[in-house]
Amino acid sequence: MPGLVLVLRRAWVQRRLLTSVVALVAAAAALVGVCTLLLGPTSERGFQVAVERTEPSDLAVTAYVVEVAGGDVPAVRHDAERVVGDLLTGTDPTLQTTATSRLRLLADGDRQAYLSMTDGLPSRAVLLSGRWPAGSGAPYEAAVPASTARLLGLGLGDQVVLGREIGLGGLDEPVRVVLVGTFRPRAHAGWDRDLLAGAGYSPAYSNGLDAAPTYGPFVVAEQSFLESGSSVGGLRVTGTPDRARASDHSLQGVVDGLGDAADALASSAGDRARITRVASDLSATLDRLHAQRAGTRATVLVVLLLGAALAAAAALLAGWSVAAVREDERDLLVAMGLGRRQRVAAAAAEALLLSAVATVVAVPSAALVHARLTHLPDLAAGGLAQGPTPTRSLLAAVVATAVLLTATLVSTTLGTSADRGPATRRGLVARLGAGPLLLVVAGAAWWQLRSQVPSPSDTGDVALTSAPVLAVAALTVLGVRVVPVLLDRAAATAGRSRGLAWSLSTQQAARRPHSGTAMVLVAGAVAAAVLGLALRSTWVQSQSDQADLRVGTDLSLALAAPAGPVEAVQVEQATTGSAAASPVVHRPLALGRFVGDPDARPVLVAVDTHQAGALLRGRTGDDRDWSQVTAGLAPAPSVAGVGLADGGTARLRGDSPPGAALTVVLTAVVQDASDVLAAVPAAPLPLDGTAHEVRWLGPLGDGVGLVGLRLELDGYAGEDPPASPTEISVVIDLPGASAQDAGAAWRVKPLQQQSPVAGAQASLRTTASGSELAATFGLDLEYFSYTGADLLATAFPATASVPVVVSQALVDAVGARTGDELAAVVGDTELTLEVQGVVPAVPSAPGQAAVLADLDALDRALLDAGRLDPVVDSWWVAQPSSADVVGLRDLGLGEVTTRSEVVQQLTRGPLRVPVPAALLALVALAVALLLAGTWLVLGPERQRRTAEVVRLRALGLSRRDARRLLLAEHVAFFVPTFAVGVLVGVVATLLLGPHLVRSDLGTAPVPVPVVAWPWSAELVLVGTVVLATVTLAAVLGALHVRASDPSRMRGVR
Amino acid sequence: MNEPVPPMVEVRGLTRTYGAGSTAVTALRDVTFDIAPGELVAVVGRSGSGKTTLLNLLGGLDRPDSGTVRVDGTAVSTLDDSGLSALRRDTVAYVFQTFGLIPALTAAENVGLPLRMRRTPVAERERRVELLLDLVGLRDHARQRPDQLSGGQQQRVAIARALAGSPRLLLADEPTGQLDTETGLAVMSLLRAVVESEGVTAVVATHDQVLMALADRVLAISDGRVDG
Repeated sequence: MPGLVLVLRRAWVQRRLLTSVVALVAAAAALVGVCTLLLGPTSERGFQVAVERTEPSDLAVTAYVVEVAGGDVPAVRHDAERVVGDLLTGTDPTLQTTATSRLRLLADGDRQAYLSMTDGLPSRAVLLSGRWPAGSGAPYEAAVPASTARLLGLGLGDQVVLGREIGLGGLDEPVRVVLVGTFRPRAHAGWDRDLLAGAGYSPAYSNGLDAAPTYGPFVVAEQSFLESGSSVGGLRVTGTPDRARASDHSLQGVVDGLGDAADALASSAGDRARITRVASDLSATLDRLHAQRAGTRATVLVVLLLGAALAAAAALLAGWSVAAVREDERDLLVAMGLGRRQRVAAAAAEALLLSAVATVVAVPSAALVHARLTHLPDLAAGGLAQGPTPTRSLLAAVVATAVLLTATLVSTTLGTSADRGPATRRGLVARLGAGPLLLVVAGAAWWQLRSQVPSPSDTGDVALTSAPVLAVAALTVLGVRVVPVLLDRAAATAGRSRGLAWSLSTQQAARRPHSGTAMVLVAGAVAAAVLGLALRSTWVQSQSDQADLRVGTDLSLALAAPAGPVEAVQVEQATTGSAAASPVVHRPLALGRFVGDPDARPVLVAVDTHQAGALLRGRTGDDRDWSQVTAGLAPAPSVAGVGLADGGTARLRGDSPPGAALTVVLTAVVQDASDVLAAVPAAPLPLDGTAHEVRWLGPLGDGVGLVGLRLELDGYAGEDPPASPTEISVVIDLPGASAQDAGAAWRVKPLQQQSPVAGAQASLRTTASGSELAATFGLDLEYFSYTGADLLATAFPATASVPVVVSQALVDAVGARTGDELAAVVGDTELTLEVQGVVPAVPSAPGQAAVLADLDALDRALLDAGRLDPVVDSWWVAQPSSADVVGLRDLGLGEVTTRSEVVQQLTRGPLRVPVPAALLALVALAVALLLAGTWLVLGPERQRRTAEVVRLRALGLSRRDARRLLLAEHVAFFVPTFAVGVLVGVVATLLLGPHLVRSDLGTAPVPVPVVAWPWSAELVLVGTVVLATVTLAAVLGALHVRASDPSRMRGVR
Repeated sequence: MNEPVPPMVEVRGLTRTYGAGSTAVTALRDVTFDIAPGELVAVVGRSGSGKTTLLNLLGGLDRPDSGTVRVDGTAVSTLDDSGLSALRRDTVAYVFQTFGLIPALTAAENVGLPLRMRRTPVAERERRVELLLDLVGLRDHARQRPDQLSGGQQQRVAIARALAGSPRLLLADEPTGQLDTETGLAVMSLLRAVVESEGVTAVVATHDQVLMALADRVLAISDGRVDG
């Protein structure tokens, strides 16, 4: 009775064969184990590292309390800090409190400002001059943004009186402060919550009732703020978790507790505050991290499923090899009366033994391979390096895989030769139907993948995970059916030839036993390898494309505060190693016809389009580059304005009509070499017929050109102003100035919609001392007495509309076409945009409704509409040197983002880097299983091959010809199988590749991914596996021939 | 007076020992004999008497420890591998007890194998295959594979294949060993017939009394020595 003894003795006799089987099962189980570890400890580690690398502001929770009386501030602050602290319990949070006072009037009554106190000011701002405020007692020490000091003309030591608080119930007592320092806000330091977003100035900040020029904050020490008794407009307590201690569970707990915290804050603040709110970006941050983790897990699962499918095919093949070796023994035992149950029991015992041995090998192997994998440079840089980590889940996965595979393998050895009768109709239908059925399922998965809109999800995507394995399996099963047909054709053709090799090799290849499974394994492995390589390349390319579009250029400097000529010079000096640099406008845009998602407002991007070819990144949608796409957006001719001489003193003269006493306030709009505009106001001057020196309230800058001049007329219109317009002439003498544009035609126009000004004209002429700009206009003094007059003289012609290129998303949203005009509002300035072209997406605005304009054209249009304050939001730099990047960061003007860094984040972030690594692992796995498959096809058939070679040798075939014959046969079998595999890989990549890529947000990438074929890598891959297979076939063939001495003929069956 | 016809097979002092030391087994001891062209010789003896060893040495499948074998004037024992291959391809053919057919090939393709090795023109090959299958009575089974043929039919295909290359010497090792009596008789008759029709010399190792009766001469081997 065959029992354990028989199993063991047979195992000993067949130890070489069983060693191969155990190696195969152990390798497959180890693969599953590695994937289990990647899905478990590595995934968790990646999440933790991702949290640690997240901007603190993205994890912070902020409690807002609006409008608190001065006396209640300490108690309310305490309550808010307690609520935030309780919410973040367990994450060892850092709390930071900022309070902003209600707006107060400045001395002239037309402008307003506000006080602020904040914890950790040095960490939130860069001190530019003086020192940080301290102490208490009026005048209170204050620091202000540099832009505030510049626009208010303040120097260190100057005192400013902030008058009564605006609004009902405001305090009347003024606050006197003394300026002790100026600063520049740091990026990611919470300044986006400041009233003026850290800009230091707004020409028309509205508190909901009135809009007025607003300045601030005047940051004072906490004690000073409290002593001033100021009412708090907004109190903000921000709690930031300790990232090293924050876990997924604890952060999820914070998100879940946000609602309760808001209720607790409202309850504790009670009537002492008008509005309370607890807000955080943590939920979105967690969603993003979860989506990244899910995407990575999906890729690992794809690798796991493909590997498992190939391993199952290899196990089947190995099973048939074992069955062939044991056929005689089995038939004998059955003939001696061995029952099926006894055979099953023996097989089960053998399966358990083999799986136990495989498990012993696979568990440490998986742990070691996983550890080695996480120490690969990219993964180690992603913070994922781990030592060997044998976990319970690893053990369970390996045991399950080993038992399953050995059971599959051993079960194929149960049948006797008598069981293998002719194929039944049912079996034939099942075999023929399996391929089409798989194809239908794969088609459904592909359709689902193609039609679904990817969204962030922590639960994974079944279609994303199953589609690749279904597609590869279905296409392979169907594709390999062509191979025997081809071989039969080839054999039929070769049969009519004279020679032996071609004929016999194709015949043998066409009639190889169990060739279906072998072909599925070999072709499937080749397809998986081709798919893995192409998918990796497509994924990496897509991340690069996303980075291109996300940043828009090679380097982006997002300004924390509006830039002026000083910053422009600094940037210019810091980017000497770059190919191009341009100031950029990047801000929300209101479109009259836009009815899209309110959270996805259209975006305006304006750059110097003369440098678009060098600056802009991303696809244009056709063969044109960005310089061609943006050709025609820049106004022609370019205007440099009137060059102002260093130290030159402008003088103004003009006459008031009889009986009237008019004054004028000039605001010069100057343009520097980088086309950055700056508005510099001047002190009021009387129009009394005398030439007055113009006293500019800020520096004009060196080497700038005057491109605009605003004239605000005010004053006494006389007792009985005439009904008809009175001609007024204002002349500005600019000594040393030169008109840089030959033939430049200045023009002047009233800025008010209903204006007392009529017939305005401007002229520029060269004088002996420089240049003279004159504005002449008719003034309705009666009307003037009610409205004043506001005129703007510019060095360029009127701008009817701004030509733009729009994104496809905007076209989809508003139905715009080329040639259409769009009504838009930038800030509070209305503009007309003229659509000149459509691109898939505007650089730096991926997937958004966006317009791309020329910066000069936009500046002119805004200036023409009376918007004089600077609108530059950032600088874009093309091909910056590493020194440029460091230099720009050192300037501290704002956040510097480089395209290469974003590519790094997208491809090598802790939750992203396993994706390309897993796809590479798929390639390695497929190659390994391919070679295992080759071995299983060639190795175990030694007995059969030897017999055939012996017969042929006895007929007179030489050893050399026998080797050639075997090699030709293997080539005839493998080459078309490889070809099918390559074809399946290519088709699967084309069908699935673009749909398998996700953004770091778990959404569909923008731009749409396109398959990026790594041709050289694919060629190397295919060449390597062909070479390896041919070499293996040649070596095994030579061994078979060596073992095929004709003297053994007698014993050959 | 006619010149004496040189023997087709000339064996002198042939000795072959397997193994060494105490386990050494001498299969043939100083065997000497000649076989004339066109002769059908039956080699008889008990199992293990050295019949197969003798046939292997005659066909160059094995090398003697001492002595010489000449086939059609060629010293077989001195040939290298390519020479032996050429000998088997052009001069000597085998028929084995286990038939030795290639399973993947049809009967006609199996018969045509020696002709393919010689790169015989296709038309000539097909004509010869057809002729030989006709000779062995399997013309209607030309497209069947070995596993679709009976044992006797397979052996007849093997005989046809052995004759395909027009060998000078046909070596058959127990050709009826796996056949029933009736089929064995038919195969033996066929062998006798084709030897006569093709004019080949045949050496057949057998236990079959019928074949012994059909043979021109019987070489009896006992303990590695030849009698008769």
